[in-house]
Amino acid sequence: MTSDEKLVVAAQEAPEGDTRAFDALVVRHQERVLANCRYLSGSADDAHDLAQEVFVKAFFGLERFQGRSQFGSWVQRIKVNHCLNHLRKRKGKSFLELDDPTLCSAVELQSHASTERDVGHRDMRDRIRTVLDAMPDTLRVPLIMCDLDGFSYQEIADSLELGLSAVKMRIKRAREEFRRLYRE
Amino acid sequence: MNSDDERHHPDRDIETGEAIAELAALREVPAAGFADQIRHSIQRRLFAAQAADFSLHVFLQIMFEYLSAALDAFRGPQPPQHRE
Repeated sequence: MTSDEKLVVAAQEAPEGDTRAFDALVVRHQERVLANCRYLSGSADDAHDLAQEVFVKAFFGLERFQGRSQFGSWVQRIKVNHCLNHLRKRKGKSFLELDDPTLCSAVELQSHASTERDVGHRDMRDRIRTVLDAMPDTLRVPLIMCDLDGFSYQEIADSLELGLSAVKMRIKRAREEFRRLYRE
Repeated sequence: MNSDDERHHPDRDIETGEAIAELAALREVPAAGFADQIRHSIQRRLFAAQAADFSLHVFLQIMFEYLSAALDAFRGPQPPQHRE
């Protein structure tokens, strides 16, 4: 049994109001959850609130968690759903279909020139942050889900309500775009 | 999968390129007191749930008492029981 599993059992068996075991789970996962919320939402301002809501949801859903997957993966699913709902509410529209032939020229897929120029002179994490911030949601979100969260293409397709080919195309484009911006 | 996907990529065999290794290790350091904020948020909601439970319980108890009183009034005064 891993430490996470022990802590989950302790949190599930704790009397109401005793959050010590869950606090320990928060400390173990907070940096990753926060990074996900930061880059999925594309907003540093929203990231802390989103991550907080994710952990609160996880706490109140803990009794339904049966340990069939790892706690980290389970929180990941909550986090992705929560961040995608947040994005949908913010944008008020669904994600663009990348298979649309007109999409290559769509404004949403164009990086901002000023941001591109800023990328070159920062340390690695700042550079990654700047590159991701410069990418549109339509490319950044599937890229984060794939390369940071480790979701399969099919899981991403299901979450984003897109076709499998569309997801693969977006990830391909996102990786190309990321590498291009990162090198500059 | 929708029909557009099938039309544009019938074979589904799209080479997506290598994963961005830098992303896998990406972490964000939370602000000081982040875990405390989560704990307080949980405690607030637990308290709110308990308060709601208590209010519902009190409300149901009051309704029960009113109903009992109304039924008693409807039945009228009971005749005294005669002992043999």
